[in-house]
Amino acid sequence: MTDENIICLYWDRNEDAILETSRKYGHYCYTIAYNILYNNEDSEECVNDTYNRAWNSMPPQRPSILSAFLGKITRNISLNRYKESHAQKRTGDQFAVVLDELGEIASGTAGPEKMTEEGEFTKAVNDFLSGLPKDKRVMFVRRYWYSDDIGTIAGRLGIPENNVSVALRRIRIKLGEYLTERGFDL
Amino acid sequence: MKKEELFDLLNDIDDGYIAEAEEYRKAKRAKIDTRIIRYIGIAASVILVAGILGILLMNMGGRSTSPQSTSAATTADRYAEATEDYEQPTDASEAYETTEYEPTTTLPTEDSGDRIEQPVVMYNGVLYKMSDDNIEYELPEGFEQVGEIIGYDADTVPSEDFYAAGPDLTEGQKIYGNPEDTNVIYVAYDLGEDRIGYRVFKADGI
Repeated sequence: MTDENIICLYWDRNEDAILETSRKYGHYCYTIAYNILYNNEDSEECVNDTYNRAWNSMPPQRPSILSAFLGKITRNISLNRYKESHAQKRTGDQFAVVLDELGEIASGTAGPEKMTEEGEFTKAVNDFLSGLPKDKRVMFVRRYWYSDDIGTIAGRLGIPENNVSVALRRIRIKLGEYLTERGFDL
Repeated sequence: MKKEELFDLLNDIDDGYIAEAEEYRKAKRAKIDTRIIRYIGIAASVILVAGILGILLMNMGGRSTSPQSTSAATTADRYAEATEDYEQPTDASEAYETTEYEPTTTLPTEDSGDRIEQPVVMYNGVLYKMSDDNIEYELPEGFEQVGEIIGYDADTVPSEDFYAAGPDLTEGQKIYGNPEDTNVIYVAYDLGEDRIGYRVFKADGI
């Protein structure tokens, strides 16, 4: 079934929308959740929560890319769950490594007022990404949006893991400089 | 800013980049698989031809009564002997039948129940397959819209013009062709935020 047809099911309040979403994007959403939570049960719950939130969002929303729309919901729910479960403890899981890498360009203190202007920040990040070569952009998005591990990214791009690590480090530094130059106090 | 906050803020990047990063591997894999299958096919063909030639030469050698008879005339006789059962086609149409066009890629049929992994579109009676994951932002010169996808089924190889199958295609996507170059067509993709990209589809067998 096409994405447009699935979205129509949501708009028609047809419960088959959940079934079709699960068939087409269940594994996709599960992978996003699992890369953050590293727990089957929690990941499945996040995917189910994703369906519920999608049900409550459409209508009024009509996403242009359904996979990204669902992925964003899953990622958001999973991050919140991660924060809850890791409020007291800091384990050395794979996702913590992803966060630590981002921590290299984040100060670690509460954000200033400008960071609340999410639209402005997102636009700056999108502008930065648009200037990257495609393979570097994919690498960045796979690491810091999908939370893929380095080995998975290397396999996907067909390059050695070390090259991925080095390239990601350079992109992080460039992103930090790019945002700082534009007035974002990271 | 805390690192969790930065990760959270990255959630809202352009949908097109998220989709691009997800699609990147699929196309690469398909490309590698096709290449490996092609190499295996070529290797198998070479072995088959070599085997047939070997058998033919052994048979010819077995019929010879004199191992010293290697003159050009004798070789010609052997060639005539080896090919005497072969009938030349009497007209052009008969000869054409032996070189009938066949697709090089085996796609799952409607009954097989297999998923079609590579996007395909039927246009002008020819099946076009997405060649790679690259997105062009401008069409090459000479390509104009020839129609749009009017029917889509994720699991069935299309048999009519403007019908499509495989992932990430949908009805209404515009198709662009060039009468001077029928080897490829382009299919338009909505990248979000009023941006359009084009992916190249090559005629099956090219």
